[in-house]
Amino acid sequence: MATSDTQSDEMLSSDRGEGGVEEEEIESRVGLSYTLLQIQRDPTALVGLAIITVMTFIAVVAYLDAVVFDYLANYSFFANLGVEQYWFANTVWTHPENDPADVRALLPPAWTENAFGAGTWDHPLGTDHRGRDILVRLFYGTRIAIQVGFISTAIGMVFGTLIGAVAGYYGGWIDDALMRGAETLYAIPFLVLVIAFMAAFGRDLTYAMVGVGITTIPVFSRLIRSRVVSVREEDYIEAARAAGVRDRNIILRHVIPNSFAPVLVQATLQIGVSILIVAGLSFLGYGVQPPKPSWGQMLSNSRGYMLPDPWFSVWPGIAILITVVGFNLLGDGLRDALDPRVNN
Amino acid sequence: MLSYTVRRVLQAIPVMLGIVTITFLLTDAIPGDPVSIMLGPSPSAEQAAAIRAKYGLDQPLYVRYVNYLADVVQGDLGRSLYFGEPVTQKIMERLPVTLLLLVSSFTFALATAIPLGVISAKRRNQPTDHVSRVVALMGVSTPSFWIGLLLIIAFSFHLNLLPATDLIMPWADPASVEGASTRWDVLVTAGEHLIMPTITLGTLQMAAVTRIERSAMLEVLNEEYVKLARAYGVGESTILRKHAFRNAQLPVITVVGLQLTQALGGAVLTETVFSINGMGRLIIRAINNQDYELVMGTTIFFGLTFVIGVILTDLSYAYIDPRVTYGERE
Amino acid sequence: MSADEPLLEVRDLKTQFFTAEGTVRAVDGVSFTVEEGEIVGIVGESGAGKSVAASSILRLVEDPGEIVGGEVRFKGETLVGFEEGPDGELRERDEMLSNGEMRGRIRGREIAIIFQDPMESLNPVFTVGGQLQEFIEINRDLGGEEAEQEAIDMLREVGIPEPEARYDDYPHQFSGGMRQRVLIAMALACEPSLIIADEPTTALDVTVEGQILDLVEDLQAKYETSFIWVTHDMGVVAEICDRVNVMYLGEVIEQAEVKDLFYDTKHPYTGALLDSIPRPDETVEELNPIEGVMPEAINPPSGCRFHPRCPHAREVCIEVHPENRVVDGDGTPHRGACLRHEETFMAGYWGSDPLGNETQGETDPELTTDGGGSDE
Repeated sequence: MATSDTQSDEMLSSDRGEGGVEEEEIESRVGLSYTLLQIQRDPTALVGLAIITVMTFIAVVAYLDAVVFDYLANYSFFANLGVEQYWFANTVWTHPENDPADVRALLPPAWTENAFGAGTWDHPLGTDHRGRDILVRLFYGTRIAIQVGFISTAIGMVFGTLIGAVAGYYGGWIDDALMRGAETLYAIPFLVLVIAFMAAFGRDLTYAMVGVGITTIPVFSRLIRSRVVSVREEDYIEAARAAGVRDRNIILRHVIPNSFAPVLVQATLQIGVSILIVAGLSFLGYGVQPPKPSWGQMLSNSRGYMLPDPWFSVWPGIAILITVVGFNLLGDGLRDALDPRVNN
Repeated sequence: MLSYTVRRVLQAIPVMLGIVTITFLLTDAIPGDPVSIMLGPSPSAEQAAAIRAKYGLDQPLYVRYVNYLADVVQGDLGRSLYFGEPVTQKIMERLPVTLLLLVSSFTFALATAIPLGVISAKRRNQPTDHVSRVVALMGVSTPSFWIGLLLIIAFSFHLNLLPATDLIMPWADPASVEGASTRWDVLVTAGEHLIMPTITLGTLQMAAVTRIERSAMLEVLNEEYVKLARAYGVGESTILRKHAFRNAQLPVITVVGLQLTQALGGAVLTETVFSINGMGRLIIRAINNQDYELVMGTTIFFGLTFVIGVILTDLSYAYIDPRVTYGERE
Repeated sequence: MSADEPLLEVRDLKTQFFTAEGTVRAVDGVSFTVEEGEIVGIVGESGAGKSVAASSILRLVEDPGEIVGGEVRFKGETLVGFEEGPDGELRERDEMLSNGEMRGRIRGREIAIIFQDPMESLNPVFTVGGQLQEFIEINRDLGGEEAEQEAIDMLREVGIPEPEARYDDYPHQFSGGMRQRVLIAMALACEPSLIIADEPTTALDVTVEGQILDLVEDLQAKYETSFIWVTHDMGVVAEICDRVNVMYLGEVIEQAEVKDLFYDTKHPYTGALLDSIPRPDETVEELNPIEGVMPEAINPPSGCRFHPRCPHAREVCIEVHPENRVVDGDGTPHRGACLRHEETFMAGYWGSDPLGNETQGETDPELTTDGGGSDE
């Protein structure tokens, strides 16, 4: 299938043959299986996928370790079985918190030294201002980033898709009202809107995710709406309507599935954006509250120690960068696979 | 063209109304009593009642909403509960700082991104293209405030080249600027203060515009009219400069217009990193203080920049693409 | 340029597209000539390589396509020329024009092109007059005002009413037919010796197509410009062309004067093309579409490339690949590439077993063993 597609595309691009053929070709590409096939041949998209997989795996391990084992260790039955808190960190690294009697704060990475002493392989990337291991905190911070990225994007995607589909399908005043609403959300900077939202409802992570999710709605509703407006005119939708299929079913069964591929691309890219926004929120003190670690919060903590221990400020940023690059690479790959005309 | 612009401005009115409503409801939901902020933790009942009456806080929500709207329409944004000054005065005080930051970072972003994107498209899949794509990818994937921190570490702490905090206005009185005696000194100092915040805030815009510029140029370079120009012996540089460039700017303008509002969000972080007293920090402070007159005032101001962004976008669209004014394209 | 040399001579031209799936031999050894004042047709189905062949003449093939062999000579200049290097690899000959020379001396100035889609061929953000004027300035070394006057005259020539007023209009204010007239004006205004028209009427509706064809015939007679007319429509060929090349899968499989091609068809594919359209000179009860679809040019069929669809295919057609040869030397040479012309190809066609593709035999062109077709 791929062979014939690309080949005929060559012929089409060089020999813009008898009209109409090209449109059909492109339309047929907007399928999930075709997209996945293209992704397999795109090395940069595969790198992105690999980064996402690794980060998600770390997040899951950290989640099990921090939440599940923590929970289990409180029950004597499991405690007797040897289930302990921070099992993973204890096994693989030294304890994330130092011995209170011997706090070694702001240690540099193992291979360097600074005013506070020489680095040690007990803390490969050094320690923070309270003597906690930076690598372990980065590890647990992954969970927050990934969780926030996926959940807030899912919220935005579900509501944005529904709103956009309804607006585009019905048109008229419903369309106007919903789209002006979306525009309003867009008119206030994401960060400010989420902070106001969190100030009103609560400063912790749940509200960060919901807040970022809400600000993401316009992104998806605009995308879906523009697709729906064109899909609405298709013959098979007309036919379904004529056959008495209910509007709700037309939207859910025909309109939305037909717009799924571009939404997938947008969602992938949006996860990266959400991770960046939440890092910014944490940096400003909105988001996961200490002592739970998040990358933005670590950067915020590091601000006071940039002169004596610059490494403290470096690591969390690198973690954010790598993760977001992963989502952007995969998103770009998906988009290229869907739009062969701009074949990056 | 004029009627088109007027229409777009009119369409922005419900958006402005929506902004006021959302902020009004959100600020109202912020827990805490504004009266206690003004009078301290345990005010006397009479004092509290007097303040409530003065600010109309004893009225029901919808009455306050209507009153507020009426004030806003007349250009009165109220008085900051925390600072005790009119909100408009507070905004005017902080606005030049943020505007300077925004103008300089957008100038930086466009001046680097447009050539980078065009060259990238022109030399597609060659080393220049790869480098510029990696730069753009990093730019959209890096938290801006982290760039700020790294810049401070490198240029302020280690190389001792640039100041790590504050902005100096280029038009400031030389007497008020430390170590400056002439206008030139002020300009140099202002420039030194501006470099790192500009890069911090502008990198995301730069990267986003580079990416869109590249893909838009690639798309336009594939158009039939570009092929036609080539077939009629038009040189490659003319094709790039004249035949392709103008058309490729349409999606770029859309992105820049949308970024204008979002850059204000970025300004919050940049101002925090460099301890700059601009609009961004003002609004965060207002939210933290439950100074809701100020929160609403600043947010309405954000709405205004959005409207300005929309109008600028549409005007540039109409200027570039003759089809716009004829209503073929929206 | 010697007196007997044709205006344009294309010899054994090869253009290939290098894709992940393999090499697409879009143009695979095509030869034809264009004389002065002549309209030469290139006809074939979509994907036959006719447009690639046309753009190869101007060296406008785009990545990943590349001209890999053959020769194009125009007015004594070598637009494309390859020779075998010492290492046995084909390389560009020294006398082949540089890209700069192609741009400065040939494109627009000597050979102009008209594309298929008038809606896409004009830049939407510039005025029609401005675009016309720019090309005239470049290709005729005229100043701004002269070029503008020339542009207005040319717009009038191609039948645009009130050309002075329309000069400053944008393309979206013109209808499809009007835009195609503008593109024709563009081509003629540069006063080239040859115009390549790449399916210029395909995107237009039939009445407009007729008007455009009439216009081109009139203007061609007036300016004596040569044309290469690329089309898939045999009806257009009949109306406008002097000589025709029929292409199938990157090869010219039949080449003749237009009346010979229609009345003395030498290749079953041409016959099939003719049967698939209504003909003014025949009453056809029903049109016969060509069976099957054209195979892909990555892996063309062995032997005669048409054999999987040919009603006359025999075993030998799978093995022997016919080059086009002169099959009828009377008057203008009539070239064909079909093994049924036994006396030319001597491949033993008649002794070979039929492949059994004959599903629509009765309307096939009536080819006979002596290579001469019979008129009705």
